[in-house]
Amino acid sequence: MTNHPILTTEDLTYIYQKGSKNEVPAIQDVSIDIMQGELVGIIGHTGSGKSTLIEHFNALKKGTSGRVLLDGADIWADRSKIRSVRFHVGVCFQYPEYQLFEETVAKDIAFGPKNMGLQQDEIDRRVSDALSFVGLSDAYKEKSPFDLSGGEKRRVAIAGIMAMEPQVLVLDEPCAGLDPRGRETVLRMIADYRAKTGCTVLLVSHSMEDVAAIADRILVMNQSRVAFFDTVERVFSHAEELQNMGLDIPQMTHLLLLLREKGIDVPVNLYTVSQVHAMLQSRLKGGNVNAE
Amino acid sequence: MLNDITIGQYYKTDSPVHRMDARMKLILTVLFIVIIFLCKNFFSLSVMFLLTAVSILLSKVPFRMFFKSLKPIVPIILITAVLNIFYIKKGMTLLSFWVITITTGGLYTAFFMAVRIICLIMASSLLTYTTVPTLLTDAIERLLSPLKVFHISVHTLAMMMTLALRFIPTLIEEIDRITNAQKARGADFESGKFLDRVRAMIPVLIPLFVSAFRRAYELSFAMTCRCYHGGDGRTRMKQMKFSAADFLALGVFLAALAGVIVLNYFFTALI
Amino acid sequence: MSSFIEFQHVTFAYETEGEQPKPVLHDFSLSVEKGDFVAILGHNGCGKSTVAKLCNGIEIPQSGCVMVDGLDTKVEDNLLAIRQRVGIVFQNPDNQIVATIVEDDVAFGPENLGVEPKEIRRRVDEALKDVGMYDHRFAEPHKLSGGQKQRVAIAGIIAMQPACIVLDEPTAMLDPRGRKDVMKTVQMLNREFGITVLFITHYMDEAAKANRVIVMDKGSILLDGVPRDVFQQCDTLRKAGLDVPQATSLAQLLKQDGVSLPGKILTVEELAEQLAAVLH
Repeated sequence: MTNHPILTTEDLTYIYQKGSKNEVPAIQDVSIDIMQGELVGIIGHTGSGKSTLIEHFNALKKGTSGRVLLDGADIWADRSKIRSVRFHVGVCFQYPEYQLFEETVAKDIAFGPKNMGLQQDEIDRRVSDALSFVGLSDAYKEKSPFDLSGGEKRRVAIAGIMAMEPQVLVLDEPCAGLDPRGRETVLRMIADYRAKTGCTVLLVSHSMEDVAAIADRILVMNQSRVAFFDTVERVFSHAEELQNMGLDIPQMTHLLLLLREKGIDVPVNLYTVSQVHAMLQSRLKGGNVNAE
Repeated sequence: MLNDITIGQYYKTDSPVHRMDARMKLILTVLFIVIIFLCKNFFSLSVMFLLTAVSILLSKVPFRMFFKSLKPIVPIILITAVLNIFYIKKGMTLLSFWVITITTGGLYTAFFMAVRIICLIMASSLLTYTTVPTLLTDAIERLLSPLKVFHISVHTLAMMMTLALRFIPTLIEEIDRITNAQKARGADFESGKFLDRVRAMIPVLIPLFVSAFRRAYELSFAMTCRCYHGGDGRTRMKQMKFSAADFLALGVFLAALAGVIVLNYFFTALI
Repeated sequence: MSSFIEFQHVTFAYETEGEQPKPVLHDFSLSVEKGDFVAILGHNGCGKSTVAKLCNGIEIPQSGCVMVDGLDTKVEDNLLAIRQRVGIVFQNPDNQIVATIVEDDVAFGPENLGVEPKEIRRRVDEALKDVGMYDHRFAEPHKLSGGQKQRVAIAGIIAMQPACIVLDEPTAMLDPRGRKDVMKTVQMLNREFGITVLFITHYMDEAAKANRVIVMDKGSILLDGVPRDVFQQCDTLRKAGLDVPQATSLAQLLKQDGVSLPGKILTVEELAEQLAAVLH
């Protein structure tokens, strides 16, 4: 992560049916800086505005007021360049497997790069790279995307976005509807992709455990506004406020908070089973505990 | 927000016309069309014009809605009017120029035809403005159910119409979703020649069809699970019942029919 | 309690063109007691959805048989009676709603059964109240949230007054709030009305709320028991591609380290209680 903001919103507001009697604000006064190379988790329940916010990042929606800056430049400054914004900010929507349409996996992944006007050999390289990012072998290239399993379709669809090699990759609930094994594969794949490419990744998720495990910072949306945008540790220190918003906290954080309530001094900035296990192990070995 | 799609042109309000039985509204609309074609002169036509006006007033649907539904018909009205003016040579000649002769008879007929088309459009719009589409399909199913004798399954047709009405909003939302997803991959729907644009639709149409077939497949399972086995032995929760108001309306329309016949008889026919 | 649904040595394979049919279920036997709340856990493709479709004769076993309330699903004439007794709620809420108005949709099942109009009206109102959707009875289904649609689908099933509801991953496409609402509704139906529930899911927190959990893998039953016992089998569950409750998982790790944590821990609260005792 660097201190260079790659994606910025300034007082971004979007109102549905502007000017009519039933105006509905979808997002209000959103001002955030996403830094180059960081992984930001976005949480908030349905209707909190997170999906609308994402559609602003790649110019599918234009704010009623406010600006979106990509690498310091207003994305709406030149309307003829809107498509190139979409190549820099790759958005993968919910259930992306429903956008597959080509005869072969390779052709489908190549759809984005082709729209970018790249040379054929560059397209081929990107297709291969993207397939390996999502953990599928070259043998998949000539298969029909419609013959794949649900989890494989999902990965091919994500590869289609990765193949555009965007500076910012946005994933809207990439694990929705998958079984535990599929969820784990997709999550690991995202973490690997980010480690290998150093790209900025935004991940929308309903699973606090997933977000806590892989994000650097968390953006919490509530009732169309930014509730929190901070490090994982600081966001989850607001456990009570989060619960009031109808959001969960990671189960391990919940456990540590319960232990604190019982008067046991434990750190609460741990989110995975292995982190908590390691902490408890050292505590129990340290002898400051009356284990049997 | 896209989920505000409303199918058909139902205008939501509460009025005596809205409350009427959909079957009666359907019958009266058909009756209206028959009567208006029986009209032979302005006296009988004015009866029907009056009937249209009163029905519209009773429906509480604003006039602008009817103007809106007339708009697409205006060229047709104008063309028929012009044709009538030029081709009908009856009565006094008002203007004669080169090959064009305009007579009073032509003018009268043109006006007569225009009013008749307007009344027709208004009456059918009134039906759709005041009746929910599903009730309309229901009414058609119930009215045509005697056709069972001829082995025509009206129920199946009505069921298909209901399902279409149910799934049109869902599919429109789907088109929107897929379009956005392909735009995110750089698909360009706005520029290029006509053929390019048609080609640009392929990445939307293929996923849409795939999804529509999947939906149809799952829906058929769900319907089977809910004991659907065609129209035989099926009952309906909502019974349609004719009320006194329905029969009153029928009476008024029949009186109009009688009036038209009488007026046709006493006054000379225009057409 | 008596057995309500009974799978007896069922073998089932989907017929695919050209290829050798792959058996989804092989010599599968299962008996579900009347009034029970049974969760079936398993990863995608383990055969759990097939179990749902076999329950009311949407699919018929190639060998063995499925008995519902003493009726064989193989007998064509039994099917209507079986489907009235066992309703299925599917994963995608959009693809099981047939009408453009909520209450008309709920009426669809009873109408197909030829129930008297007045009785349908009563059942529809009751069903909608039971699932908490009565205030939305005139709404258009496509304007509802996923969780609300799924509750309408459940109302559509209970209006047929079934003895059993099978839910095939009803929460997979819902957000956390929708999942909770659906889960609460199903638990209520089981407790208040004694409806037998067969709940197919891959969320272990939902399965933990059942009386009995069945873990499936490769078309057969891997584990079967009360949730507390089943979830102690961490390794087996992981091998079957499933999660383990985090509290159980942590407790197991600590036990391996020699920490004394008596009992079978399932929830975070239970673990906190015991850990506090150890750490004090």
